Amino acid sequence: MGMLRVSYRPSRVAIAGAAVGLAVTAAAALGLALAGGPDEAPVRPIGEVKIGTPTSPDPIKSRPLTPVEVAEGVSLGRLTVLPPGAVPSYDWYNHADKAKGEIELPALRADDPNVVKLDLTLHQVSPPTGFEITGRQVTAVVRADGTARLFAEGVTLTSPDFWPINMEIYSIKDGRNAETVAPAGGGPSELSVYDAKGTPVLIEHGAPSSRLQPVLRAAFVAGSDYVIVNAGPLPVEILTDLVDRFIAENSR
Amino acid sequence: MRQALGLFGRFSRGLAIGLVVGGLLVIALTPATSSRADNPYSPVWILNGIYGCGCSDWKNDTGYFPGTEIQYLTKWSGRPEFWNLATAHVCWHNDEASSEWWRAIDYPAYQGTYVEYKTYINGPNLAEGVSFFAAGGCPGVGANVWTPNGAYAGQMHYWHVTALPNVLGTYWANHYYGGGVSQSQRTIATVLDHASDSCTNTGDHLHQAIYQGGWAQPNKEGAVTWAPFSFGW
Repeated sequence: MGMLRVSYRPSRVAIAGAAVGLAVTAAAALGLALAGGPDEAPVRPIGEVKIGTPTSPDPIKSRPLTPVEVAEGVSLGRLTVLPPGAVPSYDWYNHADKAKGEIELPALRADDPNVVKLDLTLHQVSPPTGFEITGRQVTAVVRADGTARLFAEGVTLTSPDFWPINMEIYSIKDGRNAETVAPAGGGPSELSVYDAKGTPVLIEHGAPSSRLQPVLRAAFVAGSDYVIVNAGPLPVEILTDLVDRFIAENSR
Repeated sequence: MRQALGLFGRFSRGLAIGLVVGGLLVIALTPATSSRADNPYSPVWILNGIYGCGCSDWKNDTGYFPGTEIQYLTKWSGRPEFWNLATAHVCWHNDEASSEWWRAIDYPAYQGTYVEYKTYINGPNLAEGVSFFAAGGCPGVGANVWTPNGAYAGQMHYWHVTALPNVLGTYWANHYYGGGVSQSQRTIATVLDHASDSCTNTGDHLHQAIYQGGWAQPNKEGAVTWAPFSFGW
């Protein structure tokens, strides 16, 4: 009996073995947790706007589009807002005119030698506080006589605290309106017209009743350029400040 | 010798017990959210807009823009100076006009080919949020996408296509559930005749692109299997 009791009592060696086993398991689990995996979710920006946060622009400088304006379409300066479901024309973009012998180059970095040698005047883009320009592409059109004109610019502004802002700037034909399509009512977003010192800016923002994170998108015509600003879930003041400054600095 | 073997045996038994107990503790203490089966944070996989369409011929389009030293479609994923991602599909490129942050894949297709918005989520009874809008610059459709928990995931472009009526400005897709997977689908556009599209010189095709602050993940099998694009947080 005494012998049995001794044989079933865990020895120091067995306890040491169990301790090593536990330590190995814990180390393996910790290693996997720290290493993450291919499905590991990246960290979201701390400054993003959360679900349920109002993102309509300053009511003193803006107004919501009326249901009639959305349903039937409306012109805001040189920007025509087509009703939901419409298919816009794209013939107002000032692409290369092949009939005139113009050639449209591919999008290239603004510092690409093939762009620099064309001596194009690019737009002034002043990043909001905390943002910097981290991407800039240019699409140029070369005329038959060898001179060039700017057709499009893409500008990416990034910040460690916010979603990136992506600006698209397109030249439009003289006397033509840019076109966009309104989102249907009852969805995740609504439209407001923001007054940027006389320039109407269409801002798509989250609908109050939406259960989706609000996403901002602005569209306007400044001079002869159609500008789209994709801002993601950004505080609306950052977007309107950027738009105000862009219009003030690029009125030509 | 016998004593040494005895010590080793007892140590081994203890080690085995420790490993088993430790493993059970890890399983018991791991948060349930790490399971991807029904996790509302699961990535939304975006499928090819044109299924089964290879693009192996596209990489051979090495002509030059007239009067320049610029090749058509030069910014392939394998080019270190632009986007050196060894696992990316050869048809991926990042030269969409608006930003190098857009990652795109081209699918040659005949004019009139239908383009589908298709997704799947690895979990039952889940649905992403989506809204369709007019793409800028080139004829096409843009799509904002949200994960099933309502978090914004990112944006897609389908270029060189004509949107079908009653797609732009809407925010729905058809959802299907089964086999532990949630899927959605909607026919959104048809491929344009490139001769009527000022944006391209390189034949009729769908250009499908993703933008997500640089986190969009390409799939090297993109052109021949599903899910070349993933959105997820």
